[in-house]
Amino acid sequence: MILLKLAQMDSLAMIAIGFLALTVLTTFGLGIWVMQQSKSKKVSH
Amino acid sequence: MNVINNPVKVFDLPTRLFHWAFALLFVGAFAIGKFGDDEGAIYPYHMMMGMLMTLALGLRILWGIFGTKYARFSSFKLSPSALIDYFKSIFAGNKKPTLGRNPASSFAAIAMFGLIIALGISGYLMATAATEDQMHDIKEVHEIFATLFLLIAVLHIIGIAVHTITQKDPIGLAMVSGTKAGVDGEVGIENNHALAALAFVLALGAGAWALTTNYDGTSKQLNLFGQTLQLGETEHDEGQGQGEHDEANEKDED
Repeated sequence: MILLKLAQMDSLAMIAIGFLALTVLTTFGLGIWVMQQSKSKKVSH
Repeated sequence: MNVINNPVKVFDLPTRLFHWAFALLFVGAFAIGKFGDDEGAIYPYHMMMGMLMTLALGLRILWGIFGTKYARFSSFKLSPSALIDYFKSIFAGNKKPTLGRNPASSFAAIAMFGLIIALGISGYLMATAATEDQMHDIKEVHEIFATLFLLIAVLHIIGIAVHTITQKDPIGLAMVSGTKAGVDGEVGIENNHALAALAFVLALGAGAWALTTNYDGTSKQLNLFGQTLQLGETEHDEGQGQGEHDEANEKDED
């Protein structure tokens, strides 16, 4: 029943899904950036 | 086991593509389903995204059987004792380096896969429900599954953050680059399987194409494999429904 109550809390869901979206995009962006950094380091060596 | 500084390949391209496609599709499907208007033009895309997630999961299950070492389900650490040991080492601040998924991540992945199957089945039952009451009952269950998925996804992210800080092992970034710091005694994978990744992208693309071309925006119906699914309410439905109610009322009055 806790889940049912949670399912009805729109503001909490909005925060959670916003957090999820932000984390997904940030991790992806950061991952690409780190990959590019390590590639450019390899080239300079 | 000791950490070796040389990075090794752990997650192949199909595994990483699936991970990010799955995450983005869930964010999109949940946001539309929760905050979109049931009668809006965008609402049917909630169901289409859900169907694509189910398709992606089907392909991931195949890859979990036939894929590379760390993509295979057999490499998932799914014993409760391993999970308890993992949490103990996290809270004690002991480093326990390992290639592949840690037990918490393994359990989270399996839970999310199971929930997508449950969401797919309940979503299908909603789209084919005979009565509105039946549809609302199934919708309640569907929403509970979706909330549970969101909860696990948030816990998964918190777990990744805690793991990254305490173990100094950026596993979130490993799911982008595919590489991790090598661990003494464990061997990475040799091939990224770019062709399998291409097949995955093509299959998802074909799925999206089939969904959008077989969808009629006016009636909000999707014709797929000889079956018609109602993906949203239309003004016409509402009018018809109201008409039916009026007729019923008239009969009652008679």
